[in-house]
Amino acid sequence: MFKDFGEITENDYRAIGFRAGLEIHQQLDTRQKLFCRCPAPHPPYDDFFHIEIARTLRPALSELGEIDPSILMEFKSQKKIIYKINRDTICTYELDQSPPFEINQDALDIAIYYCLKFNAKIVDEIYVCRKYHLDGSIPSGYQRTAMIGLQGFYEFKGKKIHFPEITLEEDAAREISDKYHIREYFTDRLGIPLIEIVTEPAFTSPQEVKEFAEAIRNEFLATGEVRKGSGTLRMDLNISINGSERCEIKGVDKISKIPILGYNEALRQWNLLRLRDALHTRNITPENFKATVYDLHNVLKHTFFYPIQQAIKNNGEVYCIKLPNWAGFLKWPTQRYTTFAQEISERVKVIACLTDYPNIIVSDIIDNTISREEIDKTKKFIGATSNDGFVIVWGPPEDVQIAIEEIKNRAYEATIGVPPESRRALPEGTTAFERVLPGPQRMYPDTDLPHINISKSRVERLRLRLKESYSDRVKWCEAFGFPPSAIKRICTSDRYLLIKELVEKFRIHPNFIVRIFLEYLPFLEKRGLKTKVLTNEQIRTIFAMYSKGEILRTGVFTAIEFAMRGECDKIPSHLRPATNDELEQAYNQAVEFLSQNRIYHNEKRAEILTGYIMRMLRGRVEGKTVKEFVAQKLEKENGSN
Amino acid sequence: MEATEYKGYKGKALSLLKSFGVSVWSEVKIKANGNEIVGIILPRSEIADDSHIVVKLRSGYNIGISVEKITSIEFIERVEHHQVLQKQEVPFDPDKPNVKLISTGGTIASRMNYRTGAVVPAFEPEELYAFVPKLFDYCNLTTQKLYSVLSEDIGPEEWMGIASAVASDIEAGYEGIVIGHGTDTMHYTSALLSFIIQNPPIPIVLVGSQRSSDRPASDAPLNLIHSVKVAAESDIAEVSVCALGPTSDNYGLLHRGTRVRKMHSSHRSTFRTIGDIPLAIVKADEIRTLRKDYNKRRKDRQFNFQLAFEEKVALIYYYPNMKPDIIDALVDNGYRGIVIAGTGLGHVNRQIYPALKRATDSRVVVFMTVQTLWGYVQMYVYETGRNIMELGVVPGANMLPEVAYMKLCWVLGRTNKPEEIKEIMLTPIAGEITEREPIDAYLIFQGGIPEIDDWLKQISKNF
Repeated sequence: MFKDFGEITENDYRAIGFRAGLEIHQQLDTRQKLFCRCPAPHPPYDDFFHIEIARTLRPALSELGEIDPSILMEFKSQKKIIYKINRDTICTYELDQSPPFEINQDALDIAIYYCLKFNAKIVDEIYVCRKYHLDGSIPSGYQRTAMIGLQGFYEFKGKKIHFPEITLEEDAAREISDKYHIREYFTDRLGIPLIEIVTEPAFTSPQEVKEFAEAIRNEFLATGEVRKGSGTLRMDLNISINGSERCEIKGVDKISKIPILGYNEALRQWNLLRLRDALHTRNITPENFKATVYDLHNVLKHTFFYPIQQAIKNNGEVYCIKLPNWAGFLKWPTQRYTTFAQEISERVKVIACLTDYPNIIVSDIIDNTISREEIDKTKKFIGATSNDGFVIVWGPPEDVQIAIEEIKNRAYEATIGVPPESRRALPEGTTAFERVLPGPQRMYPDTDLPHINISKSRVERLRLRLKESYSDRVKWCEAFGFPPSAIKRICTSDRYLLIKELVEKFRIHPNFIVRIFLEYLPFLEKRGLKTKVLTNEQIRTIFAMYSKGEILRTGVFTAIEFAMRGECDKIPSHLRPATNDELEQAYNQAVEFLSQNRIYHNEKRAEILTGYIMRMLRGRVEGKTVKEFVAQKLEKENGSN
Repeated sequence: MEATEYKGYKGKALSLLKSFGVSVWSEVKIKANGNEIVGIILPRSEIADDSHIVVKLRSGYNIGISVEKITSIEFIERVEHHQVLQKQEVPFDPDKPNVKLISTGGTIASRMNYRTGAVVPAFEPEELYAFVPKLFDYCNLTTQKLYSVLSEDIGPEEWMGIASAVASDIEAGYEGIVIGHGTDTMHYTSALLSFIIQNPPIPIVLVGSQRSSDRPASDAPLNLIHSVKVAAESDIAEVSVCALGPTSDNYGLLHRGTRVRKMHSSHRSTFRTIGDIPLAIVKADEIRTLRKDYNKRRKDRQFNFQLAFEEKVALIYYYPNMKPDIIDALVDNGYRGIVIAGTGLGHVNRQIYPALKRATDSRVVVFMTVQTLWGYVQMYVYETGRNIMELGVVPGANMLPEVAYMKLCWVLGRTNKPEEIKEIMLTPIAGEITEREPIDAYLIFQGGIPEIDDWLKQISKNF
């Protein structure tokens, strides 16, 4: 039995033969795109566009006479693609109106760098190839991609996770809607350089995948050469269990969702295998699979069930597919809270473009659809007994014919087991069918670009840039006594190396570091100042002054604020520690101020005096010092009174 | 044999392959620097160095491996790269018109060989049927591979050959002719054909593609569909060019062969009618004519066939500070005709006046056209123009420079009498000179203007 999500353990996953591999796509932090000179925009992307263009993609049939199954599917669905274009980030290259420019050398450097980081061997001569995608996500119909490194690996929990291939490629457009026969994309992301790392199916539980994904993400963040923000790191999960085919879950953009996605997919595959066994027990096998089709137009032409009523009104058709002996199987559970009917419905939506739900009615779940009477009439018309199942579908005539094929296909596939699919991750942790898994990649050499030789000196230069690994940084933080809650943020900070220097060279206490970098800087950001303005050089200078005693601890805060306001000339002149005389003078001024204003609560005197002096001598005297000074003074006064 | 067995490999790389007894198209296991790589050895580009071997990995990616790093190569098996293209039996319908598709080069229909990555023409009707079955909805299509040249290499031999093939196809009774041609010089060929084959009874459509047809977003299928539809069904019996209209895929445009020009190096909607509006908008299910003044389809097989060509004609693009020696050199080398693309209304500098006089005195005919492409030559307006005319240079009205060049080649092939030459050149045969320039003949919108941007945004996806 399959346990609940809350109770399932790693052993349970191992027992069902759970195997997972990860494909990681990380956007690189370059100024321009990979094969053109457009600026590469940072997320969040806005929805502004200047024009829209419409395209249709035609599958280029294989010269071997074979039709790649995913291509056949796209061809069936006959989509018109609309691209929304912002002229500031898209040029004629992305629209496939100009040939590519020379590859972005910064992106190539970063890709080589990561190959070195992950112990991969750098390819001597790099060839750009074309990987065909016909869903519309790339206007030219193919993604330019190049192999940069081979046979890398990463040490994780004592084992080596292998990365057979590390590639550099251009990102695709962002889908915004897919309704009926029109699919729309925003193109801001198109062409941004990505590094793709594919692991072997080395993981035996979703939790393990999640931890690995976090570790890799931290490695990326720790190096600062990648883009940060939502959607800049995307993962695909490949999952299979004993007896099933590999399915791919695409577009996982939150690592925290990996456990639930993995769980639901394992559950779905496990349930589909049991469905197959149950079908076989009832003697429904691939060899004797039967499905008959009936035109229900006359039976349901007066129905009040809104979807069918509308379809008929718009000259559509309604058909029924009878599945003999299938009673009960259409509501067979698959993922949490879904059934096999959903699998059929998704195919109908994606391939036949019947995108309004509900798009089918199944015999096992027929309440609240057509009337009792219509159900009986249908059963009679198609000659169905209580042992049979049936599926009703409706819509524009051409789409319905395709839907009928897909319904029969999916039911047939159930008798074999788990069909290999590409599925899309949904927010609640389940997945939906997206496309048939592509066959052997249609990869062709890109004849528009020459090959690239990578010199030894370039590799060596990049090797010198290698920064410590994330796990090494964590060890350092622990050794120096950083509070555990702050370690991750320190290790993934852009300023990590600076922090290291401050601690090791200037002997700044980790708590002070945390206070400044993790608390004070965000505090100033909230008040409208920009941390980006603060250079490492400035920070270094301020702390150097502090460590030499030129400014006080409190002066560090003020100095940082001055620097962020562009008032560096005040450092350290305005921050010289106050002398006793100056303190005395300030106190007197404070008293003067007090006497001119009536204070109703005597106990507040100390507070007000302290506050006044602090403001006057801002950054030049510690709060504690002032408090004690004022307390002393007041005691004396009270004593003399 | 050796040439193909080690195609492209030389020097160190060639020795390495030979020493391990492996050749191109072998699947091998290569040990290099402690790595094991399995893949297929691919041919190498002739211009690449001799220190790398190119391999296609099982994942499909190609990489180059440095010869120095390779310690061993183990042969696994030979990979056959058959170029078997799928053929399907082609339907024939006696009620449908018969259309001929002539190929002169270019990749209007081709396949990518998965193993080699080479682009292979797919041109038999059976192959076309597998590639774009829709073509056979319109007609019965017969194909002929006439030439296989890059269009920039095209010359008189091919031009005369194409014209003769078209003439015999008209006589043979075809109801439409489509000519596959490289886009670079398609407008030259369409102009020349318009002069050689006058008053054709059927449509003659030139078609090409800016993106080779092995690419999913290729304009080839759409261009083919549009041009075959025109050839089979439309009543526009002229030599024309068919190509995509807008940036979207929404429709193609049919351009008169003497007024069309390639206007962008790579953009799919590169062809534009200059100085006038196109003949028609073409979609897979509709041909919408944009004007009424075209030659209509006829049932007879009469047409005026004037095959002629003179090679010694030059087209020169005038530039400020051009020196007379350029013109002198043409005259001294026996050129019989010169077409100048002059600046403004048709002007050149004073420096070359003597050379022009010398040319016309030597019975070299000189015609003037405009670099600006749009607009008429008008050499009375400025003194410069009047002076140049006095030297014997003839204004070419609003003929495009390329079209004037082709017409002069054709005219000089028919006669060498100066008056006759001038008369034929200046008498419009197929729209190369128009009487008037309507206001929508010059519509070049500037990007960045807010009103234009707004309008584009509204109409772009349906435009």
